[in-house]
Amino acid sequence: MKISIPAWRSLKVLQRNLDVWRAHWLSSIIANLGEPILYLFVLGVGLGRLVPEVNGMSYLYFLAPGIMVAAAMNSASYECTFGSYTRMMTQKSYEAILMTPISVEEIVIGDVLYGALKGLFSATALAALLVLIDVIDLTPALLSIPLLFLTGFLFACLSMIVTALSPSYEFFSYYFTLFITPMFLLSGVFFPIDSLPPWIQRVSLCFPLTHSVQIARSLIYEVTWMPHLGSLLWLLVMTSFSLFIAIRLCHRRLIR
Amino acid sequence: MTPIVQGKRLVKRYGEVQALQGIHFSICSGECVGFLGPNGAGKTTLLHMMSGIVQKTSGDLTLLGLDISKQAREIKARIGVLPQENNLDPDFTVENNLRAYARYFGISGKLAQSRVEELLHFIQLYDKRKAKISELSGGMKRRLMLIRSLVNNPEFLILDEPTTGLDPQARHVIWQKLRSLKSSGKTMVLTTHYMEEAAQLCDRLYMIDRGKILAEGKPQELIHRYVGKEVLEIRLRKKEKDRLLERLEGLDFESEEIEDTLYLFPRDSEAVLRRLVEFDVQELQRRPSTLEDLFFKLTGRGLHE
Ligand SMILES: Nc1ncnc2c1ncn2[C@@H]1O[C@H](COP(=O)(O)OP(=O)(O)OP(=O)(O)O)[C@@H](O)[C@H]1O
Ligand SMILES: [Mg+2]
Repeated sequence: MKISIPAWRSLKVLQRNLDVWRAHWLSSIIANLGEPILYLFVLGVGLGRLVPEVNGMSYLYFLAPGIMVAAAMNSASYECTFGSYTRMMTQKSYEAILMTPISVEEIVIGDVLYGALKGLFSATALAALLVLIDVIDLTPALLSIPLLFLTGFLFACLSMIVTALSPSYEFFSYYFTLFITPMFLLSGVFFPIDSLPPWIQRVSLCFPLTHSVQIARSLIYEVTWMPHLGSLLWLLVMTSFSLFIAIRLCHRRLIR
Repeated sequence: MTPIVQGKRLVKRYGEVQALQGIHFSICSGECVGFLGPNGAGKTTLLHMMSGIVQKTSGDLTLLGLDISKQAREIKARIGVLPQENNLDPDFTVENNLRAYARYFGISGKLAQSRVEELLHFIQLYDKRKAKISELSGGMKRRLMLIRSLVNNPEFLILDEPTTGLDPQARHVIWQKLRSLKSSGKTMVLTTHYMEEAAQLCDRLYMIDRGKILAEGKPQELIHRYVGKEVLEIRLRKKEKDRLLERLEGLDFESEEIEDTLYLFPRDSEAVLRRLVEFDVQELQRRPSTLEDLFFKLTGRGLHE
């Protein structure tokens, strides 16, 4: 298999998905934002009363960066599991596209770009809300956009791997209950990971979301990427690797 | 004439299953070639190989002078594929399905618009251009699939069971359109289970079963070569059969017995009929032999799967 620069052909696949999305973007926002908003306010405001301060800040402020990257993760993960599986297996849209000059790698890249954009969209909408109600500032919110996109892209690629291996929709419940949810709970979104037992901390450091959360914190609180260049590098390596694997696996599934 | 599509020693294995076991074939410019064979014969596998979505296990396959394993993208830009199963985009209307598909070929803007309209008129779906896919009948979906395979004005058309599951009206519309494409010079390959479809459309046929080609030729030629000109279909009681065959001793014919029916494929039907005059047959039918007889003759009557 040769991976050429996918460039504009992937954009046609992306555009197909965006065209579909345009028809129901409003319902999609509500679906995507409902959950993070619930977490923010139930936990931030409710639990925030009981937990007066974490690391010297209000609980809502502590929660904000983590919930933003987690929104990107969740939205991208749903899109590139249930959504991509529907396109690949149920509707056979990929097969239709493969009978044109567009190749498997271009389809996969187009689809994960779409997942990443949906993740970015959910997370940015949430960030906008947080800016509006004065929890975070505008400048750090804008600066975090590339990180939100990267997080979405990474989880879109990981989800695509699962999709390429999945025999049916049921399979995704394993992915979410065994991987996405534990990661959501244990990567420092809700409490600092140094309050966990050491061995869980080590596990937590393997989760991509942990690194996204750490970068998001320094972006939002200190308006800098600097302290976590290692985490950034780790995310980039993980993203390239999982994109490569996703393409390999989709190729095996689609070209028999 | 030099062939524009050519397969040599094509083999496809899916794990243990040998779907194609060394296929040779060629298709010349302007020809319509049919592949006929029972379920599981390997037709779709072969057509998928030509469309670049099944990789060959071994052998050589060239389309339009290009090698499918090296230049799939260039080939796909110049061919059109109608797969066995419809895969229209349920999220788009009729015209947007075509537009999105045109875009994959790099056709957009005014050119795409005029192409889409022309095709909608050609297949008589213009009035349905704003309809959702779920609102279309089976026949309309198939017609839409057919014009979708034409958006890039392909030089070579791959049609996998173009009319399976359609009512006679819809089938005839598609045949008529395929004939008009053929007369405008398009080269095509198709598979079908309708012998009439093959007879109406195909210049040349390959009979295929269990991944092997059994026979090749023009439809009429094949029938005459393997079956003869006429068939006598005789329905009679079991115990009469042996007596009847005895009576026909010395004449040149082949016979086949299925359940209560005896099929005779005689060189000279008149001679056979003369001897049968005084025989008490319940039912006798004399008819020209067809592709269906050829099909049964070559692939047998039992189920293959
Ligand atoms: N993806 C696959 N994996 C495993 N076996 C397959 C696969 N696709 C086809 N086969 C097998 O290969 C053989 C040929 O199948 P193919 O679909 O090419 O037949 P066909 O002639 O098109 O049949 P039909 O008339 O039913 O469409 C069959 O035995 C089928 O079970
Ligand atoms: Mg088939």
